Amino acid sequence: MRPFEISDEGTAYVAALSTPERLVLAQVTGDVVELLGGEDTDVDLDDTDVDLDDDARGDADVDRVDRADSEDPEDGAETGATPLDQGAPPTESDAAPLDGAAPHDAPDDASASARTPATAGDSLGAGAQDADPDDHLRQILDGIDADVVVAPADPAVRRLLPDASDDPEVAHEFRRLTDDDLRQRKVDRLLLFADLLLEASPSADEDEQLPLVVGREEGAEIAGALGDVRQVIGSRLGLQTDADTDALYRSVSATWEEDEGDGPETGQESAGGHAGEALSGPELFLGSVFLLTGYLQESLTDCLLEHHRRAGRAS
Amino acid sequence: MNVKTIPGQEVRQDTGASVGEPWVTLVWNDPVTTMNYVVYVFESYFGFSERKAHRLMMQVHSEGKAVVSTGGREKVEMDVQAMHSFGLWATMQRSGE
Repeated sequence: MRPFEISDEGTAYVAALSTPERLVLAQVTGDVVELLGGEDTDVDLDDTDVDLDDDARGDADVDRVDRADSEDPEDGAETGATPLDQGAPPTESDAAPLDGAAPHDAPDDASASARTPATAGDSLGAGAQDADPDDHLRQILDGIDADVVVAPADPAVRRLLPDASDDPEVAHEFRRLTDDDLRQRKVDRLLLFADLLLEASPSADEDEQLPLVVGREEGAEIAGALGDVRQVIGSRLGLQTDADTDALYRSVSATWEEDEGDGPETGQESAGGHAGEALSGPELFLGSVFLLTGYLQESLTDCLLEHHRRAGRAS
Repeated sequence: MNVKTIPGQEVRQDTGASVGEPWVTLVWNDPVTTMNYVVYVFESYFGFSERKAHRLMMQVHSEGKAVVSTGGREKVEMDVQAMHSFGLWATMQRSGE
């Protein structure tokens, strides 16, 4: 990943991501769309020339429970067919945190994101919750149909659409007035982000950094989409305080640094105890995406601020 | 109540509102949103100066919340909706509550 910079002409913001990073981000983004009740993102993924294998396409399915079950027998950790196959699917049943403590057999762990499992949908979906989020969604959609908009039961969605007041009457009135518009706006910009991620033709070289070009007028929307993705991941990871987030950064960075020290050929990134809490499996995957989206959002925001301030000085 | 955390004079100067307004918009700290994004939202949406945006961001970060706008209910509703759209955690309440 290379962070966003303002293009030479000043008309766009350009970052660079490897093909595995793009696919993982597109999937996670699609999962957030689904949480918000947006369109099924299968179409977006299928329309591309990306050589998504069945596993990857399955990740975009709406029915998370069925998907988790069907993936169990084809745990991609053994095959290494694509970077997205590596690691265990972070379902409750077969991705115990201890799984990652054993050495991975993946031979090409050049970057942290390239070895992360591709089953973000499971991580963002039912895995961490005691109730099926699809039920929540149905409840929400039913509520809209009945013109009674209820607060989302899923804490991650509730973070994206929070109560606007601790006065229930004010909060309810606010939700009734704004819920549809806020949801639609968030869904639209998440879909835009997913489209941009899938714009470049995938490279067979997993390390090749391909440009991610965000038009100047799209910058604020993409920064917002990145923020929404991070809020959902942060909720799933249970981040409640700044200290929690700092600890996550330390833990994930420690894993990355260890990778670099080992060199890409060893693939022993999770083999033993190291600095920070040992993260593995779904937590490491989500943590890696959290940091990746953080670097993207922060660098994009710096670009937006520079343009905003430049325009302010010029006027 | 937290209106007192912002000097009334500055509220009048920068937002054209006064502390006598019936509603306030509060932005709350959260562990996910980056500091520069909060500054960007405050500068681009409210039109705050770089200095004021940074000061309010730091207030959110260190004190947990800050009043960022005041006004009638509809105006504050609009501001809270904009904050939610940007992805910030914001609430509205009556002044003096």
